[in-house]
Amino acid sequence: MRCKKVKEKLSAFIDNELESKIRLKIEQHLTKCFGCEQELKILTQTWQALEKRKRIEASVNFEEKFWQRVRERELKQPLFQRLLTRVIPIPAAFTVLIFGLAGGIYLSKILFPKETKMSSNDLYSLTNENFLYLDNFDDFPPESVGDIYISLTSLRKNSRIED
Amino acid sequence: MDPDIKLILEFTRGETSAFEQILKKYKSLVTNTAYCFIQNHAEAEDIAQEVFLKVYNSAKRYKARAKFSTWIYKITANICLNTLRSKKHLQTVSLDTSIITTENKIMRENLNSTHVHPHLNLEKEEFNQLIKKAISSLPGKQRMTVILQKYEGLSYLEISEIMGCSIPAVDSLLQRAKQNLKRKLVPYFKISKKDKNEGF
Repeated sequence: MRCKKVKEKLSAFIDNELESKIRLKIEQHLTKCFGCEQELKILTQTWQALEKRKRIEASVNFEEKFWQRVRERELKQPLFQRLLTRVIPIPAAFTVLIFGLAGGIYLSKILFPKETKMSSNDLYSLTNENFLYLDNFDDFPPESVGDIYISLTSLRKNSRIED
Repeated sequence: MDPDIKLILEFTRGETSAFEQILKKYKSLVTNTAYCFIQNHAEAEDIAQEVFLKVYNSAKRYKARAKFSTWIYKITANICLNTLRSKKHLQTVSLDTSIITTENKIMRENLNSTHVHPHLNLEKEEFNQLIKKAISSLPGKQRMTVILQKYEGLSYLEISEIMGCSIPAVDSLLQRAKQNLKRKLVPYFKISKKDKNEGF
């Protein structure tokens, strides 16, 4: 293993984070390489020097201060948000949703009524003058399908009358 | 199931006492991590309070994929790094202008004397100051990885989950941190005659 590669791995070597195979290779290299061995020594001493760092504890009234901040933040929230998160339970919110939907459907019926169906009287009033008969249209062009059809149906009609 | 995850789930169901237990268990850990990072007791407490407020407000969004401690460390690391960015504490602190005591000057000049341990000649408080300054001189992410690995005893895998990066990235951060610390602290190490002869 080359020195450059070994030096890159020394940090993980010190922290015991290398796979055993790689660790073994590095250990073997260190037995033969003074430079890498010295580098490891310096890094280890540096890292060990940090061990003397003092630890601190949270203050005695830490929890009291925390709950105070929670209360202050909740008071700053808008009223509707506080109600939404604390007062209105989920079943009540669901009930409000159902009523809201029902109200919306009712309102839509009032505001946007459907067209009513025609009554029988209305139908009766659609008399001859309202309906369009074929006579209201221009004649079919001569020898067109429509013209032939009309001719045939007229012939049939006339033959029935004669009978 | 992780007992802390159980407590968080109870809290999301409305059990405030569950959150109180979490608060009791983690308050010192979070405060200490923040203190190691920001180097100020009052600010560390403020950061710790913010961490727990975040946990309190985000508990319902917590997905128990990882340990609860990983999640709380992650929040702590993010708030610490954001605090550092906003306060511009990233200015490096030169050790040469920090603890220039007479004893240090003599120590740095006197490389020929024998010694047993690198920092025995420093007073305890001076030593603490030296380490404090050395760590403060590191960039934010290097600083946080040093704290998590050295002081919180976390593995590279755990640190990668907390920092949101890969394990090789954690390795790289720690490599660079160690090199930076070496440059800052080695002048204060006394070397033995044996080491000097061998070119240390």
